[in-house]
Amino acid sequence: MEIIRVENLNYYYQDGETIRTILKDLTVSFEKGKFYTILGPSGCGKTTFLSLLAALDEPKSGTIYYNDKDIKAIGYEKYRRNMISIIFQSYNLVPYMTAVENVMIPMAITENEIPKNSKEVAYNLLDYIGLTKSKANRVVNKLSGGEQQRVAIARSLASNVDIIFADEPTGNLDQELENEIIGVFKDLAHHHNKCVIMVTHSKEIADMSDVSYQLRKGVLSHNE
Amino acid sequence: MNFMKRAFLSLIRRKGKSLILLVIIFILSNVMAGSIAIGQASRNVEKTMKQQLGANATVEMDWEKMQNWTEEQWQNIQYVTPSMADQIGALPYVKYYDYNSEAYINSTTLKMYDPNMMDQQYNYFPLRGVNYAPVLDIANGTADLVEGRVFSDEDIAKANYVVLISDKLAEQNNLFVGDIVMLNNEIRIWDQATNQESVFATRDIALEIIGIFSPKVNTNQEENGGWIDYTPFNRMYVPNGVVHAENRWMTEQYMIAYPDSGITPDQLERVYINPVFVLNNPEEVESFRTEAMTYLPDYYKVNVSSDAYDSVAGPIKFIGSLSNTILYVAIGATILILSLVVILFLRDRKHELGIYLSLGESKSKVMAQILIEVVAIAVLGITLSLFTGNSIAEATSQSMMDLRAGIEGDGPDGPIYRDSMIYNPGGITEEDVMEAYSIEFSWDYVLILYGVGVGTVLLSSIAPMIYILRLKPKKIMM
Ligand SMILES: Nc1ncnc2c1ncn2[C@@H]1O[C@H](COP(=O)(O)OP(=O)(O)O)[C@@H](O)[C@H]1O
Ligand SMILES: [Mg+2]
Repeated sequence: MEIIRVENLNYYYQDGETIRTILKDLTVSFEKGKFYTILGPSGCGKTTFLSLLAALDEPKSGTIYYNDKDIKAIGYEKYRRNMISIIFQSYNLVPYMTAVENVMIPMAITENEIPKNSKEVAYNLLDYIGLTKSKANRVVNKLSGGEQQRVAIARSLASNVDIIFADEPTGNLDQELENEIIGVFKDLAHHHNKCVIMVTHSKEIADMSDVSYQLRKGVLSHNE
Repeated sequence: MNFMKRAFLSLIRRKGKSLILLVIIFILSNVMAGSIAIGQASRNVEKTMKQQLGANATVEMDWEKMQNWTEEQWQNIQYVTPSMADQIGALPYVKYYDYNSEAYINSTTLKMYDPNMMDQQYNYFPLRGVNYAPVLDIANGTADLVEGRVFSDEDIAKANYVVLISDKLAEQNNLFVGDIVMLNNEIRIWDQATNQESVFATRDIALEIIGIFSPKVNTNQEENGGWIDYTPFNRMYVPNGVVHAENRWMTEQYMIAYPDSGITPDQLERVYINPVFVLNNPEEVESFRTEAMTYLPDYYKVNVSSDAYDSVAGPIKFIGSLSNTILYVAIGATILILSLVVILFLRDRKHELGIYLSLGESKSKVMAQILIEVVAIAVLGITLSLFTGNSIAEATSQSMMDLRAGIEGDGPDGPIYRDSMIYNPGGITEEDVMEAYSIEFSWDYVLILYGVGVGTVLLSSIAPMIYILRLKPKKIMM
């Protein structure tokens, strides 16, 4: 079932006189229950595309629909709050909070239904993602990079949304951890009916996804 | 983990930053607290001294404005009439008032009270005409009624020949309530041919004593600079109509004695009054002054007993205005320093703020979180400075006064003597004012400090709030 549809998306960066086109009349749609990858070399515009999908920026033209509703009409803030989650390349955790506190942040922000025992839920999410309770109680800047990214993934699940965006989340991690995280994303898509869209420059990761697109010269094409 | 909990966590987990902010606010708040305490103390002195001086207003001609008057202006000079006094007396600021007319009348039977004076040829007693039956001086506390009664409304209305005399005068002349006092109103003329004074006309006045009062006069020679005014002991209070009738008789006789004097019949009817208005509140003096002037010719001025404060309040006024200046400077400095420090701290937390925004938190809640953090620290800092600021005010008050002495030299010293016509108790000196000055830990001080402190901190938060409004999560995060 289609959950996100992108129509005729255009985006460019302007540096004084020079205009750098990043996305050109891009049209694509994504469904729940699938793990997508968007493949492309560094600098091709993957992050830019993701920032538009995640409503952190506004397209120059074109429309993004969530369940057939223009996300602009929904309101970017509300869309980010209740419909999507983002996993960043550089984990972006609140450094002075513990892992479990970080996971609980979106629970207080979202308007989606969150179980009353939110702390327990947060521990469970961290456990699901492979973080023990003792580590969950540690302030995050005392965790390793891999552990921090696990916390970021757990946080993305905390607001109970259908769509998860990930911007090269394994870029700073070793092979073993990367595989594990890809496994988690697949599990989320296949067993929890999420729509997971991950951006990567790695062909191997792209090969592990259900659907893989290639971003080239501002347009997406299926990657076989 | 809502924004309030986040604020709390940030405060306790980022202890170093919280402490830096606390120290900065504490220091600045001390300056504000000190200057507020000093400002309060100087305002309190003014209030208590003015309360003590009372708010008794009189009107008099302003000679400065009459310096360049023409002959014609002098001829058309207007005196304060009872109806002017009634209009002014009807103003809401006035508690009660009296025309306070005066006549000086001799007595051949009574002896004036003045322990230093030998027997005199004449004994002219000051008669004060009263139309406020309870008698201003007694209502004011400048004199106490020790025996008998004050006037009744009927005494005043019918101009009964009744009198209140002082205890000392009664004692000296062996008089009691119910006795009759004999005065002799007389007109003396000077015969140029014989170069002798003679009595042209005389009439006896019999006044029944209805009450005896005791004036509160400081009879300590040293405190009064070696000079004591015994007028209050010899003053006789009579109904206003009595003074009017006696003055009128004198003018009549004068017209007969000097047919060419040019006194007109309407001058005969003139009532010379010296009205005194007792105000409800010394703080309303200026409004009273302005409104009273609308009923008076513009060459009059309104004097109020509490004005005396202004002539000796130099040092207090100096530190009051200095502390005010310091307060404004401190507020300005606080806004500048805090704005910069908070923005600096926020730059450090850019990623954290970006996280909240990317998670869909509204900017208003992010701003609220930062505001809570800053205000919480501010309230703590201000609370601590409540106590230290008070001590700072104590410690600096004296050096501020010394500073003024250094700049201006000593202010006017010694007691300020005032016209005995004006109703007020004793003069006040610069020393009295300094003695009344004290730094106090009052509710007013606490409330003003919190108000000014928190207000300043809120103003300091404007720039940081703008900084948050301008944050772009994409730029920070991706
Ligand atoms: N704020 C910006 N202003 C101008 N150019 C930018 C900006 N952000 C990114 N770019 C440029 O746009 C291109 C696409 O960037 P990005 O989307 O980050 O690519 P990717 O994520 O695929 O590496 C890059 O060449 C980058 O230099
Ligand atoms: Mg990128």
